[in-house]
Amino acid sequence: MTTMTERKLTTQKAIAEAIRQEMGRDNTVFVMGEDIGVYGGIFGATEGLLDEFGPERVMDTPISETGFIGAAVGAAINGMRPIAELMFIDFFGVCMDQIYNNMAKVHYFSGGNIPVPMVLMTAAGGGYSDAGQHSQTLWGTFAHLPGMKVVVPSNPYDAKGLMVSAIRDDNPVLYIFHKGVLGLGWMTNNPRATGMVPEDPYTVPIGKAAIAREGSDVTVATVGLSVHRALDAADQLEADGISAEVIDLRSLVPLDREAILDSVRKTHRLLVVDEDYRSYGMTGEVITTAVEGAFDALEAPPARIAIPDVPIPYSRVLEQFVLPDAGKIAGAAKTLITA
Amino acid sequence: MAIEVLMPFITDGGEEGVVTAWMVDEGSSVATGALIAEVQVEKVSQDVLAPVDGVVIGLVPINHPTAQGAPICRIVGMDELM
Amino acid sequence: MEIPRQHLVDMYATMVKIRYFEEQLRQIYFEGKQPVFDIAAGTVPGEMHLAAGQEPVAVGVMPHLAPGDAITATHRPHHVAIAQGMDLKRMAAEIFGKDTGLGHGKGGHMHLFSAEPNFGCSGIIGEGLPVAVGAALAFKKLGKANVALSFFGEGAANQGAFHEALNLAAIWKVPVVFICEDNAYAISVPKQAVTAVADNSDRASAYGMPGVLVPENDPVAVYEVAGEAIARARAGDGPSLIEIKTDRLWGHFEGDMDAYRSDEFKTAMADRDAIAVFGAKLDADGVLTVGEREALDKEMHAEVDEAIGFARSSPDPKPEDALLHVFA
Repeated sequence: MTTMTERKLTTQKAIAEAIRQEMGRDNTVFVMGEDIGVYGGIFGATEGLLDEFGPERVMDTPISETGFIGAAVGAAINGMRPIAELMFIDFFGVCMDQIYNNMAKVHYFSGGNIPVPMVLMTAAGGGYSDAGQHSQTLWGTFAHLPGMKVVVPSNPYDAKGLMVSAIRDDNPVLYIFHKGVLGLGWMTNNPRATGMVPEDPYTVPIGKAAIAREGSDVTVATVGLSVHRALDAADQLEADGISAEVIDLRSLVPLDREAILDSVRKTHRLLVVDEDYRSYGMTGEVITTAVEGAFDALEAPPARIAIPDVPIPYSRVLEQFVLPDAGKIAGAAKTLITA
Repeated sequence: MAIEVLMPFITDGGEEGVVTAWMVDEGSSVATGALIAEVQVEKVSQDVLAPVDGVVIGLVPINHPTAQGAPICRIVGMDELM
Repeated sequence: MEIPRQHLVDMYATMVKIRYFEEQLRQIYFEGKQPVFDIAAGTVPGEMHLAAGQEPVAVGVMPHLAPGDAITATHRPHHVAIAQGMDLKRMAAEIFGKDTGLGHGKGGHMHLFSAEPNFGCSGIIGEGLPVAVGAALAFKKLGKANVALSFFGEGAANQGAFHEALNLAAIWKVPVVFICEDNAYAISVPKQAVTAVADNSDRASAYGMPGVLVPENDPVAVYEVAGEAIARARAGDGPSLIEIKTDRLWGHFEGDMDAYRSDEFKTAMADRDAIAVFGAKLDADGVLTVGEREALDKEMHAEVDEAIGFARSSPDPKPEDALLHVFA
């Protein structure tokens, strides 16, 4: 009988598998959130877990984000390793105190004596007309605030490995999955959302970027769904004789600044793409990293593509105007080359 | 001997379904019970598992409308590929 | 309820310890802040919220606690921490911002954290209630016989976190006791002006749990009510809410002119000072003679003096240590 040695999963299934395997390995891991039990998570992150582990370990909560995220902090301080799901990252407004003032600061306030080993996972991103309160990415806001790690996988392999790492990390980890990379059947099909995923558990290190595509003429640094857009753009650029290097940052905190600098020293041109708001965010941080650490290597001012400081509009034509896409990325890269 | 893997019957209305994700490639080896595809009829998703060991061939394209009960791929024995 | 003599003695002694600690801190806080009050100056810069008068709430609860029981408290935490058995030296050092403090000086007076005893507090109103629910959830999942206690003020009972936490505690049926310290004023705003019910203990039924009001600032009354609630939790019968009418003898923070409370109000509080009342009662009941009380006073004062001396003589952290301990 032949058996599979390699098999593919969608990103959504990879996340659920990571959680399932870690829950099987460690009894102190449990999940809670809205609709994560019977429904399997609105975005499928906990598919199948209730049937396997039961309601004690897979807990459907009331609509009480402050309550259950604060409870996750208390449980993490007292011997458990909770995974709490914030259904949409846009909802952080109702519970932000527990996240940035509590979860992220207990370890520091205690002088390193009290760790908070929890994962806060959440869905982010737009492009499917869910409008201004259900389409944001907002990772810049969280990355800005000290005390929590922030990871953003773009593909199934990283999604599983980063979730395993996040669960095993003794720090609070904000695990942000872009809805567009999940490979959900009810979203627009995305070929990059399915990929090879080893069956056994494995880790992807938090704090290390990945070179999604090697290149020599321009560095395109980004996270999440924009990695897919950048890879599509790189294909277009190759036809025009331009070799783009795509860096999938994967972690915003800690940020792999060395990877950014190594690439910029090689290509001399930097384009940063972010599906978050333009001002005071990730693009500014990555560009400043390059300016601070590799100024002499730059042959053109770094460029950026991000949402132009407006709430995300509903109408499809408006939303597509504000979101990064392969065409905009390829265009900006070409402008950088000729600058 | 080839086994046809069918689009499952998910709804009563006779709607066509689609494969939304293939977990295998043309020519991949699978074991019985392995997840090979995710399909969708209307808004309902379902996982499709391999009914036998073998090699998967003849994958229908992603999002290609396929009747419930119609084949989405075939699984053949290793020896049949030789 | 027959209360063991040792519990009565311990409660009295701890009340004295707390009061003396708060009195010392009150003096020390103003070191370097006179004649001109500069909040950033002096031996203990920043804000200071002292709990003189609220001792009964803390000491009445503590005899019922077991090792490992978790407590979350507020920006006014000292009485609770001391009653739980916090290391007084490391607590004082933390308040002074010294490297020998509980958090190496990183938390300060509003952010005291300790693993043993299991204690945390926060400067954000209501933040600790969900955390206590989570601690209780962990105890239940881990099969431990521990309970969690959440201390908060009557002002916090109007914060969303209170309502979410009580509802969660009830549906999860976890071993947590919610302890509302009603000192009648949330900074300057009186309870009746901002609370839709007469007492927060009335709110308990809205969340499917028993609610009890302790109408006076009496450690014995607190002892009895808390004993029942903690036993109930430990037996697996779920959460309770207790509200205790207590007295905040001084302003909300040190430096508060406290002009919003009348002289009559303050005089009435002073006249019923819980330590004096309890001491007299113990004397009348033949539990502690005046001489025994005086000896306890001396012992408690000495312990506090030693802790403060330790804090004063401890080194500051190295400035660059500010960069440590963000991540484990």
